[in-house]
Amino acid sequence: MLRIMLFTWKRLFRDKTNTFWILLFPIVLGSLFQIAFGNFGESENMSVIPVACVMEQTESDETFTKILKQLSSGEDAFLRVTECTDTQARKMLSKKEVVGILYSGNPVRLSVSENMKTQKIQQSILKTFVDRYNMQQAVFYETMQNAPQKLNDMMQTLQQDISYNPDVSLSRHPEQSPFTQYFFNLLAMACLFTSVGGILVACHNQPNLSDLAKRVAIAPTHKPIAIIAELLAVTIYEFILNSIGFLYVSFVLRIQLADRMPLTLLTMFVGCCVGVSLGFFIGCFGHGEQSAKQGTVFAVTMPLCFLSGLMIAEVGIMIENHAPIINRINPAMLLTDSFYRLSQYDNLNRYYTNMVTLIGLTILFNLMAFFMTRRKTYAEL
Amino acid sequence: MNETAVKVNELVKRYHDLVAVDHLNLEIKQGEIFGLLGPNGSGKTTTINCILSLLNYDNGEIEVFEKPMTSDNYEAKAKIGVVMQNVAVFDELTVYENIDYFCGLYIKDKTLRKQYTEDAIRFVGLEDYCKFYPKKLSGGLLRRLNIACGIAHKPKLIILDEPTVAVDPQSRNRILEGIMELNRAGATIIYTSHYMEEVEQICKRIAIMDTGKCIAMGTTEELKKMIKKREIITIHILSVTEDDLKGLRGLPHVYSVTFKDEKLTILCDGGSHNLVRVLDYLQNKEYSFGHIHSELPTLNDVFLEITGKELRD
Repeated sequence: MLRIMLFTWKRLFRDKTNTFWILLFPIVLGSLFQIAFGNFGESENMSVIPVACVMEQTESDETFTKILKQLSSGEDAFLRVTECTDTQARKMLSKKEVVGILYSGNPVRLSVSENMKTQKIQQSILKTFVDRYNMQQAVFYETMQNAPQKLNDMMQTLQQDISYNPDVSLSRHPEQSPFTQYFFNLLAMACLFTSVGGILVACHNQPNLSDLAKRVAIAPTHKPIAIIAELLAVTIYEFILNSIGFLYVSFVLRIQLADRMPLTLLTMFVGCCVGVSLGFFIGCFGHGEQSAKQGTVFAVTMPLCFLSGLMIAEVGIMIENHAPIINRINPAMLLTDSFYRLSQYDNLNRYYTNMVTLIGLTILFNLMAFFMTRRKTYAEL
Repeated sequence: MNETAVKVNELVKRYHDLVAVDHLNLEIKQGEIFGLLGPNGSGKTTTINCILSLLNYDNGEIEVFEKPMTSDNYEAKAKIGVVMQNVAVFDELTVYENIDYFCGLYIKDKTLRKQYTEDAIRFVGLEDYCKFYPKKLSGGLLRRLNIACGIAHKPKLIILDEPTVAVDPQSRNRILEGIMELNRAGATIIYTSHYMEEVEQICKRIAIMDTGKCIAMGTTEELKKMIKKREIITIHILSVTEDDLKGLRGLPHVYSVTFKDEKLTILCDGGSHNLVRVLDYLQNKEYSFGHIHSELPTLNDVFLEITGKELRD
């Protein structure tokens, strides 16, 4: 078994087509993503938003000042506040030294420049912040006037970080570019491309598919052992290639993908398992040349990647809204979502569900493939 | 050695309505080179695939080394080596690695495997190409590699399915010599081909197949004795009169005389000195003639006489 694995590794190592699709293609595509999206990340440093603040001498200034101080101090500060006059603030805005001007008062007002097109996301964040502050301030004043006895309860409620999604905790990487999502899709695609290796396993072990398989079939080697050895070798090898791709994206392209390295690698390994199994299943399905089966594999995996949002990010969201079951069984989406959750969430319940589904798919594909290859003799060769 | 290597009894294999092998019976003794001769589509490869338990069949029994052959008869499988009709090697492995890999499917002992691999390389004359990848080899060398992969584990039964297709004459001779050498070393050989000269050259016994049936079986001599034709005399001559054609037909052992395109063809059913008698007759009639050929019947003649069609049709 080990010998079959060793020779399989040798063959895979020298197989340029396999290396291209599993290693080089994701690296090239990742580099292109970086070229395409890299500027967005640089021009929009979302970690700290520079903002000018004009105090208008109102009753609520003190609270507002405290909140601004809180948001602009510490390691996870997301505002850099410059307190100044209206004239100075406008000058700074026109020079693009700040993203917006905050005017204290009730309500707090925000002024932004239409010319700062590249900082739209930061402007949106400021707008969200101002809206939320005003809403809370309004609730506070209304409660104080109409039901002061409930003020304490209300304060406690406001202090809680109300979330509509119980999974959502504070983002682990708030500074992460929204385009990182594409790299998660890319990793998922690379995992599914390992199905090319699964095709090879099928073609080398089904006598009705190749003469090589005939040679293996007439040898006194147990067929399931030969298949399992080759499947295992292919999965491990493709996992190593994918890991190299992952390291390239992380350390060469400097895309912050995840800080849970062991779990991320585990996800990639499970991704390779499901990819190889999918290829093995497709390879065992019917007659046909190896190249035709490889074409079939791409014809299956690319639409899966498309549905997960590889080409258009909104596709995945649209499916989630209208047909979520597709996202729950699409391996590309399950992998993308798993990478995303590892990167962004403290709560990993959904991640574990994804992993269980992926392992289930791996078992299902392998069982179906073994069911098709269980024949010991063939009606036609 | 009179023990049976392969016994096929009433084998029937159908592909839907087509009967690929039709009640075939074979008994191949250990130590012989057995030829399966027949045109393309006659059922040779199907028979081989059934013997190897790759194909399931509709009727009959197959025994290899006196035990029923099944896909999990690993004891029998370990004694069989197969050289496929198509080259079946890994493009990503070198010549040495390919032979080593396939040998390793049979031989677990590392030292023995190394020795067998080197023996196989020497046997097919690929010593200078050990580190070459198959894509760098010529057609003939590739065929030799294909053979080495099939015989490296020193099997007792070697099945060669058209191993010389698309091979240059030099490589073909080397392959045929190699097969005879393997047989001398004790291996039983089953050799399928549609090249009658090859089969005639190396096989001790031959089964001629057509449309899935065995139409004749025996040694070359036995097969040739099955037909009336024993000698074919061809003489290039400008013209022959009808009377002289009749006269020639009257000679002893002559049973057919035809004249077409300045070529006189005389078929004899046995006897000796037929050519001398024919030439004496023509000289007495003062004919001048050119090229003269006298041939013994070939397996193609056997096939032609039994089936009414050429072996290479």
